[in-house]
Amino acid sequence: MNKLFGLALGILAAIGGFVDIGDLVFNTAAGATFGYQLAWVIPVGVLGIIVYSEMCGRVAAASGKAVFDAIRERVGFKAALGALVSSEVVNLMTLACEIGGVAIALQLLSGLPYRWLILLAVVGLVVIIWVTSFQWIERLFGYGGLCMLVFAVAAVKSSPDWAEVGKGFVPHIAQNNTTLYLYFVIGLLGAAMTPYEVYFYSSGGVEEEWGPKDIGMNRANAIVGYALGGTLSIALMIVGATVFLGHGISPEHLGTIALGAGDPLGKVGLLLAIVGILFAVGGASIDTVFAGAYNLAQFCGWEWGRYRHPSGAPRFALTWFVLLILAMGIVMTGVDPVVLTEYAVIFSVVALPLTYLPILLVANDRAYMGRYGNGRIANVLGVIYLVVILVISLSAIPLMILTNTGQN
Amino acid sequence: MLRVLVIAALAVLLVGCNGGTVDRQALTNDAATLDSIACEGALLAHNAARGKTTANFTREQAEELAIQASNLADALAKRPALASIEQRVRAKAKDAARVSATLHRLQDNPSDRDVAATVERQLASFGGCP
Repeated sequence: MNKLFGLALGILAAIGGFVDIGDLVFNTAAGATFGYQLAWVIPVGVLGIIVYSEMCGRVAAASGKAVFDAIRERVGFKAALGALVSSEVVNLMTLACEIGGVAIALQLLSGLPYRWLILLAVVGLVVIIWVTSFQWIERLFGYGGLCMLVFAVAAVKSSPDWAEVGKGFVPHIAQNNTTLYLYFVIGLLGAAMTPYEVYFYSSGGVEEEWGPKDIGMNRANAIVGYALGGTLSIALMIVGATVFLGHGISPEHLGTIALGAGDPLGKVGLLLAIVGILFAVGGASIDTVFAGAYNLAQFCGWEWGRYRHPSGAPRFALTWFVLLILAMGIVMTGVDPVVLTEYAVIFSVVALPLTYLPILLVANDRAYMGRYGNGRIANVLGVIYLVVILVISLSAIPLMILTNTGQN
Repeated sequence: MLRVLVIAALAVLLVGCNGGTVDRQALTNDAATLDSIACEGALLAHNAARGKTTANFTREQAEELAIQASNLADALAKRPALASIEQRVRAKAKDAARVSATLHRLQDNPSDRDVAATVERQLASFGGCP
């Protein structure tokens, strides 16, 4: 019974915590630009993150090692350093976007000045991380993020043409503006398969002391949680198509996304959307900052852990604190978090192979994994996704330039 | 190989920048952006007129859109343009300034439903919103 309860809680937290600022920006913009035509990309991305998160969780359960520990041990110093630098740069960009997103959501609720709210957001995150147990952090942001379900209600209420939505799930290439279409394909995949998610997931598994008996729970959590979370991405795309494409709007602000729920559902829908965005990007801020601290600590062989008091892992604590300050500095320059999000997602796509290739290698290593190594299905899917990742990684920057970051 | 890639990337960037001159493609993009701002402002005003938003949300969102339109107006007024389209570019700058001013009215009166209804009509007309 306790296991079932734990699974239900984990799934609820995964739904609430699935969507981050990259998903918000790319799913809504894709709907506003191409209607439902890109819906097929969402299950492709969700399956990819399920495949690799399950592998990471299994590595953590079987070996007691998090992803970066394994990368350092198995692929050598130089390759691990490359993975570290790229992941830390992308993490920092993403963290800056999420903090900017928190400040914007607070501003839309309170009307207070943006820069003060950036400071308030960072101080709030530091206090929450410092004084709250991680279990409560997960619950707070996971359950708060469930307010994002308002977008699913808004999607239904906005009366989409469900036959057209269904056609969107058939993979195809758009005949009009193919370059921009491909840019969105890459952005949607990048947003769904952001590297920090697997780093955070596997380190969390180690901290919660998963063992082989938890492999089934890990698999169920990854499959059900991410799949249900993916429905939120579809809802955002539908809202983008029905509300924004229908009104000739190209959403370029976080507030516009909230307006997508407010238009069909009124003031309550609008407020729930803003609160949902606040918790979603707030939770993602914590995931991102911890992923950054985990990676550096694991690479350097420091003591690490969110369950430890900062005095028990001082360099780990200092790392997350410094990352928050650096991210705050970036947002304080006045850079638009939505624009920065697009760059962060595209650069994360470039770094994807450095994250996912070592995971596939380690999960296949019988000396490391024993009898819990990849089976045939995990390997076939893992290799297929690795090829997809390599292709989109090579195409990301050229497409970003050719489409002027999706503006053309 | 790396050098070739860097040079190719710089070439693509330079071509994309087009020296900062507004050509037909840039004008089409900027016009579409302005229409989008106006239509979003119209939708915001529509919801404000029906009591479907909060005053804080209307004020902040209208301000964001007004700033975006104002930046577009500045860019279109100052950037060099191809001689054949210069008049259209400068006219579009004036349109953008008008959209910005209209959005500022909504920002200053976020709870006034009559103002919101007027702003909605004006912005919908500016943007040719569907």
